[in-house]
Amino acid sequence: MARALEEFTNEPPLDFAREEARSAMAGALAEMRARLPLLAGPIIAGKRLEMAGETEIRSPSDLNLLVGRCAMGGAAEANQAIGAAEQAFPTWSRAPAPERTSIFLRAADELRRRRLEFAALEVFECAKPWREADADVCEAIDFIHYYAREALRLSEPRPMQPQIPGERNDLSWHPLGVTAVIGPWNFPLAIPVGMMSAAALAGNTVVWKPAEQSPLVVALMMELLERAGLPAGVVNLLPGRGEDAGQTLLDSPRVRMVAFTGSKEVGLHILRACAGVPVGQPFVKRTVIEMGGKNAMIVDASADLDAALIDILASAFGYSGQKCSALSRLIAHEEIYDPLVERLREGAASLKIAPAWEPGCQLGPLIDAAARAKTEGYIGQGRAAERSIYVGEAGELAARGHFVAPAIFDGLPVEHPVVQEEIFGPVLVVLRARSFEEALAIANDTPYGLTGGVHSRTPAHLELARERFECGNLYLNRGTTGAIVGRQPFGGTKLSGIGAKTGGPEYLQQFMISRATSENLMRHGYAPIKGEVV
Amino acid sequence: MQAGHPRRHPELSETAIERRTQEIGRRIFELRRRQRAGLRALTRERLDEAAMERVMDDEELRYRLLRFVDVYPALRGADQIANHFEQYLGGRDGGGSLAAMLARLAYVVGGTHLLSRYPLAWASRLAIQSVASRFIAGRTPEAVAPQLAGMIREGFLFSIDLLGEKVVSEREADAFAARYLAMIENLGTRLEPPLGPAARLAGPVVNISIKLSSLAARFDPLDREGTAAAVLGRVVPLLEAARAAGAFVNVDMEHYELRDLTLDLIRRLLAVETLRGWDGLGMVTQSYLRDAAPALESMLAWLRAHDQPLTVRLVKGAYWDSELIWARQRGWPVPVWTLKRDSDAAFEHLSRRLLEERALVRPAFASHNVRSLAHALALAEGLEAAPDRFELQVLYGMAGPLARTLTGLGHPVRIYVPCGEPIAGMAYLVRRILENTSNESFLRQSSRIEDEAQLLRSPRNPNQATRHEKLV
Repeated sequence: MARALEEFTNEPPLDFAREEARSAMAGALAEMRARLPLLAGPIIAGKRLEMAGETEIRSPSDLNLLVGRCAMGGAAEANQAIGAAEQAFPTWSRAPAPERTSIFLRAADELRRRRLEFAALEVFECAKPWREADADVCEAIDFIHYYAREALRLSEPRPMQPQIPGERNDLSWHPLGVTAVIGPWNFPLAIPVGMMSAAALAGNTVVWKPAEQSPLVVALMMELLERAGLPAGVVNLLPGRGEDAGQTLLDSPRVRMVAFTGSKEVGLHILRACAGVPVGQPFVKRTVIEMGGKNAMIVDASADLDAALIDILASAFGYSGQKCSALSRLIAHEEIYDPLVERLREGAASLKIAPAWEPGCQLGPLIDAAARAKTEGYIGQGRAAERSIYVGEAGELAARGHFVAPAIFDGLPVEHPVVQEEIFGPVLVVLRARSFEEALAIANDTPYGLTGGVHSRTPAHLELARERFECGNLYLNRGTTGAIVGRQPFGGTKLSGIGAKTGGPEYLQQFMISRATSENLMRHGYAPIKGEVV
Repeated sequence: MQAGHPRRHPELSETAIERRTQEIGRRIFELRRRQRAGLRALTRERLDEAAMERVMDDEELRYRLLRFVDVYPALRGADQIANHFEQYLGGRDGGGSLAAMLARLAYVVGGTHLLSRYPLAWASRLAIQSVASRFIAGRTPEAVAPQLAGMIREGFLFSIDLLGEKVVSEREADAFAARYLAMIENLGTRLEPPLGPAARLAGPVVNISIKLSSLAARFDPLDREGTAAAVLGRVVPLLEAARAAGAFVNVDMEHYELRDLTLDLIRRLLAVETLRGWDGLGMVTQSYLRDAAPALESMLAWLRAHDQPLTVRLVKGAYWDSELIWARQRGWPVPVWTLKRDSDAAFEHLSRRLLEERALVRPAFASHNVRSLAHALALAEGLEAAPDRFELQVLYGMAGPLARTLTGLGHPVRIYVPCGEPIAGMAYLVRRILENTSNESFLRQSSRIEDEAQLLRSPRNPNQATRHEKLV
């Protein structure tokens, strides 16, 4: 049953320079389009719930395209899902770790086989451009593989040091219980799969709530897991809204842990909700919370501007800035400020705005009308301050989907909302610094601390950034997005999140209880004595 | 080529070609030795070689030196230069260190002891400018024109390459196109017709090398059609102007990821009504790519089907390190050969194919490797290729004695001449320094006691299992 695992390697992205890859993706998009609209709804204890009233999922690139319909669970379905997870817990948690991992690895194999299908659905449902959609599926595969290895590693008790004759001390890891996993829509497969697989591989059972905007790709994955042999009730799919389904999970005394990735507002709400101990809850809920960012990149006087520009454009405007890792505050040294800003303006103006399924799409639409209204509001505020470097126009596309063209502002006071608040859209603020030290101070002047970037060829400045840049992921002389499982564990500090980094060696323990066991090995004065006695 | 003539030319057997390769190779070495003996001991070329020599055996120092050279043009003023010099190269003293080398250089040239920071900054500026001016001919085509005229007087041909910033916007792509156009229209007026062996080539005097990625804000292999529309919109008028002005345009090859896109664009260009049948266009084949041969064959088949002439510059390839690193980062198969002898053997195979197809394509053998060139020349003899049906190419500043040797042997030699601002030129300069400081480098070979037999050995010899290093 257990299979020997080769060393972890990342799933390679598709090489779209190859004709085979391009035509395969185009084919997958055509096939998926023909399958639309997909249908989804809660799957609890292996059963699809019959429910009235479905929510329509329309493609953000073109609101005329109905991607699917999804039945949204409410409080009743949430409680039902919790019950199913609770029931599955004893068997699943006691199953040997190799048994659990082999099911998930089968699922990863299958996902690899069907990666284009999943990527295609992301293109329609979440408006991920080709490369981004493909990378998201790769990351989901990576998470499963990475956490599977971690689960096996943690399944063996670890002897504690120093070892003393006559006693045995070890640390072992055990599942917690029912875990609620609440995912975001911006990495619609990778992040929900990452949290869910970590929870389940650790031996927990899961209520899996995808974001309201992206339940379809998660539902497709749920079916894949079932086919891979995941026992009923181990993972229960609960599409639903935060206010009812989500809140029920937070309030339930039977939910042992909540893993969440999303906005700061919801994250902090979850933390407050989980701090309470309702009657009949004999534990404090554990939480792993990943929130947003207002990420800065410093471009030093000694930077390679060619490289910096390419990284700025990709980090600020990739997936229209809808990444918690996205760059939103560019801090430029005054020596290179003017040439950098000039080239940046032209670069932003040259980005191709298009529906996500077009191969040339560099900037797709935002996820929904609310995101668009919010972003346009901030752009309006920036414009009101008359500090725009560039504000683009989405043209006629704006009538078809939730398109917002990029905007770049400078000279705003640091306390301005556009400088301080997470926008989650294609809006970049440029700030001027007279020295590298001042740039670092500006970079740290934010309540967030997720990613940070530095473009500099001054070794002392890079060293200073390593020491003082208050962020969870520091990127030196490269873009600030696209963390890779294993190589670049990901997660923030300050108001960007609590908990260990995803895709890193400390992540899986969060879903487990550690138990230190000490056994007295002496019997009537005798115990084996290992090693040399001096 | 020889359809209807099944007779195999006796001089084409492997053994005969190998024997001739050895003879030609030994002859080149001998003539080059004489050329080099003419160089006085303290010319700039010799001084740079001594500096290179010190750097090459110390991987860490080499890495630090390259990084210092890389940041240098972004530095303003002596303080910044001294500060960065100290950070990259300070504290690494000893006979072989660059600091000592620079100090000596500053002393020899300026009679200054490096007691304060300022002479150090000055010394490194001097050293880098000297290295840069060796590989980059000048800032603008206008500034380089007198040197081009000098090359022509010496009997060389040239191809001019514009170094520039990475293009990230439509406006920058327009600016690049305008610079190319100015070269095409103006350069010819300043130049005389070539002399010596170069005169045998009927082709145009004005020869420019362009990079298609500099002609679009997005040069993305994922978006073939969008990229083609943007690039063709700018390059077709350029080529039409070149055809009208009687100038030659070579499309340079960049990273592997852009290779198929670039070849596709070349095919689209040759199918444009106003360019059809034109013989003033060239492409590049990089022998270090594992799939260089099939890619070339499919291009040859296309050219044959469309009865379209083309010049093909055969190189080994200049992006070996980046190709290896990117492939590893993405988990993709490494597209380049990892053993140098495989790239060399591929170069020889492709040389043969190009010469065999010389009715269709005009081969340009671009290498500083004596074995590779001697082999191409031996093949050309064996295949009875007329000397005006192919040319040899070298890089500016890398192979003066070799180039003079080759023209002395009666072959047309074209020098690839980069020009541009120092910032834009750094990527090019770093590539050249990487090559010159590697174990396989031509300069190293030439600056050490020469084991000619070793250097002329066939790449198919299984004992030649050297790690790839950089290519020349």
